[in-house]
Amino acid sequence: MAHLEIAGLRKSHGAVQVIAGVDLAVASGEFFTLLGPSGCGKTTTLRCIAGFIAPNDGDIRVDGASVLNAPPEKRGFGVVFQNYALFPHLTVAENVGYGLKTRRVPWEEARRRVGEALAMVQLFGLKDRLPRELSGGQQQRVALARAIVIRPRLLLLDEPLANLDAKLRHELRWLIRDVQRAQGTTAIYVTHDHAEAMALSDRIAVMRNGQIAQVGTPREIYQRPLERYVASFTGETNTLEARVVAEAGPGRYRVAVAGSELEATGPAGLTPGTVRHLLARPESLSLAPEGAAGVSVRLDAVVYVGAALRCEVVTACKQRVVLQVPVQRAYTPGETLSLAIDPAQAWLMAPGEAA
Amino acid sequence: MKRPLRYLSGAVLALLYAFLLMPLVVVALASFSGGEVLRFPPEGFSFKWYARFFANESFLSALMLSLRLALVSAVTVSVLATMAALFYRRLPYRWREPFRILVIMPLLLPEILTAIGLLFFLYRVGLGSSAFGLQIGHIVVTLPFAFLSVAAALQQIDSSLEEASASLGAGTFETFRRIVWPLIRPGIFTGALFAFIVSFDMFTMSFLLKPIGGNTLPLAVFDYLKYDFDPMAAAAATLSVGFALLVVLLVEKTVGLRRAF
Amino acid sequence: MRSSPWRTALIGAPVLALLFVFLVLPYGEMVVMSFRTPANGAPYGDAWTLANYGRAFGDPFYLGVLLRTLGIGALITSLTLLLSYPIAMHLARVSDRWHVFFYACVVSPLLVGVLVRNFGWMIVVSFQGPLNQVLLALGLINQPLRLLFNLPIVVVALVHVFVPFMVLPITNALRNIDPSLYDASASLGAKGYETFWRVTLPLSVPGVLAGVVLVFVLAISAFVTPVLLGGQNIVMMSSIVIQQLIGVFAWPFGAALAMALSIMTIIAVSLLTLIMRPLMRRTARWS
Repeated sequence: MAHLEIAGLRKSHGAVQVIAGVDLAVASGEFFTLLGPSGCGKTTTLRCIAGFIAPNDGDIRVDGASVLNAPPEKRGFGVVFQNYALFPHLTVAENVGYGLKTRRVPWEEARRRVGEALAMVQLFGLKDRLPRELSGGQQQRVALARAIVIRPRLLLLDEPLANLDAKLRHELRWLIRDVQRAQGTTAIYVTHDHAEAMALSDRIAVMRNGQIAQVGTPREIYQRPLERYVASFTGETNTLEARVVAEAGPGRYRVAVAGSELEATGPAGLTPGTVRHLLARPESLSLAPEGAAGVSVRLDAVVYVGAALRCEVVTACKQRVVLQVPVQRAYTPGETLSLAIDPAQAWLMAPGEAA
Repeated sequence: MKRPLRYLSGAVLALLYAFLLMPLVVVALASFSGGEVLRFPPEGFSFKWYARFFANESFLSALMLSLRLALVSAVTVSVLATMAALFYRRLPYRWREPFRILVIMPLLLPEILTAIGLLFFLYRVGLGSSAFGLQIGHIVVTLPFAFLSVAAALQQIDSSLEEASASLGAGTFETFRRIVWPLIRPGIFTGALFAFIVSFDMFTMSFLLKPIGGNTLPLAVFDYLKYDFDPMAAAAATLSVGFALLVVLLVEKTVGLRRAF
Repeated sequence: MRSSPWRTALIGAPVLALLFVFLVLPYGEMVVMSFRTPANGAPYGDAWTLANYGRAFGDPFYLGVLLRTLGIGALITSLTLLLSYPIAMHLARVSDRWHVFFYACVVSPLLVGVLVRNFGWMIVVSFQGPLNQVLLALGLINQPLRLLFNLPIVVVALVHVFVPFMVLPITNALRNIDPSLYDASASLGAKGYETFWRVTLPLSVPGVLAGVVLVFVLAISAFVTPVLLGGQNIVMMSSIVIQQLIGVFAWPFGAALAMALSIMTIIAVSLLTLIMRPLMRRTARWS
């Protein structure tokens, strides 16, 4: 049985449907991420789980029992907020110990647990500081310690790294993961940053317009997106229109792209003639001299980006493709080249809007 | 800026500030006069007008009434304003602005109109010329000052703080006691202070609603000035400023320093 | 935050009850009364009438007082604005160390109470007061002037009290102006006064409007200062209203006069807001 189950969750503000039917099942100890652009309903879903807002319809169950009728203070979930939400008049230790105080944990035990939690986020030396005397990164560590010290049944994190600079974001990312692993807590993580989601999560749910577009492991989401929206939200993407010519094996097809025939991977059961979008991530593409196997393209622009060259090429059907190639060879804009795609990474997905 | 221009603007500013402070300074100096008539500059220096003030029965009883009114107003209004500010925060969005306007209405409406309306009304309900009626008038007028102060303090509290507290197991009351109250306490004290000063100096409302035989200090000074023009009125006036300052200092000492963040 | 609606209603109830009973009802009663006939031995008679308003707006004496009150209000408001703007500019850019001091100076007229202020003015302009002495010493006059109980002293005293109400909102507006705008204006070739005229002044309009409305409303309802410093010579609307209520117990007519004053105030304030609207729209803060 899943640890957290969400069934048919709906929430609207007036005429606007913020959550339009969300179903999820999260296993115990799993690190589960809700990924999507702002306004997709991910934060609202999290706030419904936390109990800060009441859904209009649907159910939220933990260990098989509905929590909908319990106020937030009775749910026992730890929450980490985007703006940290540290109590400004309490010291670091008092902030972390707050949840133990409300639980009437004996003083000695509370002191020990606060010390352990602060050690876990590497902040023990700062326990008597006030929040305003801490940097943003330190504040978020305190917030994390405060949420885990109560040994929550569920750890809810609402874009906890969004207000930090890039370097701190990396550091704290691993800290969050380590702490969650060490505690064995089930975590629900909300973010709009796909790299963060990929690095942290056991599974990701990509959300769009209050619904779940796809749930899967980071690898599935990245390499086998069901539709173009998911692909474009999880990293840089090229999509080419492709028509299925013939099945070449189970889940393997020969497809026509811009006048050339290629091999690609796709879901089972596509019949010849079906039009699909061919997903080609920049790193699955390569360029070969004119005449080699692949799609004939004209090189439009080359930019040196350090580790690689970033090339923009245009197919005969005026479709633009971006890819990265090793720096070894010199390219001149305007030359005609052949674009090759790794068949295992060329994926056929349903047509649809990009994110 | 060119130098002459800077001197000129400095001089203009100095004059403007002098204009603002002049009446206060003149009254304070005149109250220490040693002479028998009110004149400026005062003749000599003495505390005799203060001594006469404290020997004057009608001034003393007026002072006591003013202090009582101001104290009751400050306490009542801080409780009411805190409840009102909490209510305001929980109201659905579209009801907030109408509610806020209703509460600060006594500040927006001319005091004299509110006083007239209350005068009629209190007579109709049989509370005309009663101490209770006057107290109500003071509470209605001082409420907006306290409300604005508490609401401003409450606005500084991000709602995620309350959510964080709830997620950590604190119920509504515990969240109020441990989080909200400590954070808005300076705002409540400031509001009470405002209410005290405004009530202590309130004239028009007291003038219209004063109970039979009761006089507040401003009313007593007003009556006195109608017939006598001597430094005792200056002493009374200076004392009322002194009281206001005393309260400000008191609050600054007790809570002002706690406004650490 | 989720919380039970009952509990929410409970914390709002006392204030709502207080304001309804002691603010909304009295004003409602005043409106009703202004349409009633007068009566002996009771606040008002049973019959409805428009006569009170007919008299308030029809009698040249009352209409004159009303119009003069509005005129004096406009004069006081303009003078207050003129004096307050430099103070506001100073207060907006004064260093943090001195801010408290100058702030205290600005609000001091409010802290000292209406009587102390008026009393101070009475001393200043009295027959043997400092103003006359200075004028005599300078040889500008040969004998002391009678400065009390005339319009100028009432205006000066009211301007003095209303300065804080004008300075604080303008200071607030000035402080909200991004300082880089001044640099931007200078880099585009504007001289100091041009920057003031084209950037500072327009961006402070919201504060100016707030101050102007506040001061105007306060000025036309002023009561104590005109009575104390103006004596019998300066008749403003509020003293007429009080006289009708307390002097001759003509409650319905007094109520109608009070309503007339409120109506004129609302009209004047709405006109002002309407005129300022295009400017307000441009200077609204980004949201």
